[in-house]
Amino acid sequence: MKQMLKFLPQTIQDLLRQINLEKVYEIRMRTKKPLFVNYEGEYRMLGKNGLVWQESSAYVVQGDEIEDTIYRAGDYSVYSIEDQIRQGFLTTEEGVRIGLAGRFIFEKGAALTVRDVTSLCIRVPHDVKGVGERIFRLMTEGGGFLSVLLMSLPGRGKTTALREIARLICERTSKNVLICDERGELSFGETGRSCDVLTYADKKTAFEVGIRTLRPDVIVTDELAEEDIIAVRRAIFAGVCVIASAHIGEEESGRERYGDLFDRYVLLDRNKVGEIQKIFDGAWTEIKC
Amino acid sequence: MLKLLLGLAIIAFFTFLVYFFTKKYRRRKNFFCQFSQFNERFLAEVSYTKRPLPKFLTAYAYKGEFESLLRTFYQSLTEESAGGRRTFFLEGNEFSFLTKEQINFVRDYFQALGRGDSNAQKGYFGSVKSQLAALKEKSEIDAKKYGDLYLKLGLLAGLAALILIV
Repeated sequence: MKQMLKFLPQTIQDLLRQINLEKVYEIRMRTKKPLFVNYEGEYRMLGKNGLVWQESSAYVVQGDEIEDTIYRAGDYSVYSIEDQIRQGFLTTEEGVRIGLAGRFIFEKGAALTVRDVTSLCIRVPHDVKGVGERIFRLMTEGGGFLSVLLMSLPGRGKTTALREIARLICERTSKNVLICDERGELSFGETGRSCDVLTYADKKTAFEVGIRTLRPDVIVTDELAEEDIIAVRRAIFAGVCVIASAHIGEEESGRERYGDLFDRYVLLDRNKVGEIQKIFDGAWTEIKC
Repeated sequence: MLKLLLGLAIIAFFTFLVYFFTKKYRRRKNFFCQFSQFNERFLAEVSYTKRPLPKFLTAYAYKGEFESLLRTFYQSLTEESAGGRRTFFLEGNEFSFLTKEQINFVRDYFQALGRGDSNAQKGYFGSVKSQLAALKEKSEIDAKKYGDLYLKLGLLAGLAALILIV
């Protein structure tokens, strides 16, 4: 069993031993419902003897298993991770992100916490070899640093690629890299010798604070949303190179939302993890390479 | 001279017996005193610093059986097998100085530790505070009451034995 999944209940760890974990990208636990895994990009039910087709053969997740998973993933201290929980997720020490579905509790108009969690979406990180290297070459062509946006559907290896790019920049240049890690997932592991990390701050705060106080040459950040565009634009106009990712499956949506903000746009394959489908320049002209 | 020495030995023997028989009340008193302190610290922890439980458990020094209990609980959290809390229970003679009811109380307490957000934890462990205070007070009264009573009885028994023998 991968060390990073040690927080799962023993029964589920045992079930996962029946299959090749290298091909598992996501684990879905829902109270009193079959256990699902994203296996090679396809959602399949998991039973005693591995992947199953029939619901009757699938393992049914119990409520206390979900509770135990959160407890163990949160270092046995749910109270210590409530800042994450109120945003609907938690990240384990090993960088595994767990999305939560349950009852949101609000106080004074703001989310206070999530209780009675009924579903977990556990994303299993993988090494995506090669993508980071290609994008690094793309962003350093011509000797300078270009701002790049990685686009794909969720779970196609954007975060892993960003992590690798940050590491390569630190390894091969002496540039100051700032990782703005809103969910505590991007900065997992070795971050590089010239890397600074801001965790759990929203993009607006992280970009403002980071540019003002840490003087980054490159900012690496994950999952841009529409409200983050202003912060990114300010950073780019200030001469900071931004390497970011966004949940975008089509080039049209990317063009509509980001226009010519970035120097390069990289669209990852929607069917394969960690494969580049297309690369565009700032004017959205496809670059053949 | 020999009679005096024998008399002193008999009284010392009965005093030792008294000490032995009242030990459980003293252990109980010390246990709940430490437990109460732990709960106060935990309430402060969930309100302010919010360190993860494994760090909090090792942040302060405790004594006697309570220290041993925390060690067992910490091990149950960090052991490889699943369901940390479910493998935690008070075993063996080590906690025989507690009543069955008290053992259940302690088990429930530790099973709830770290299981909720800070509001839920503050609510639960805040309400436990008064129960713990009552248990601590009772254990102190018992330790004093039975300690004094048995000491007097032990001395009387020693004197009686001395008179009979001498």
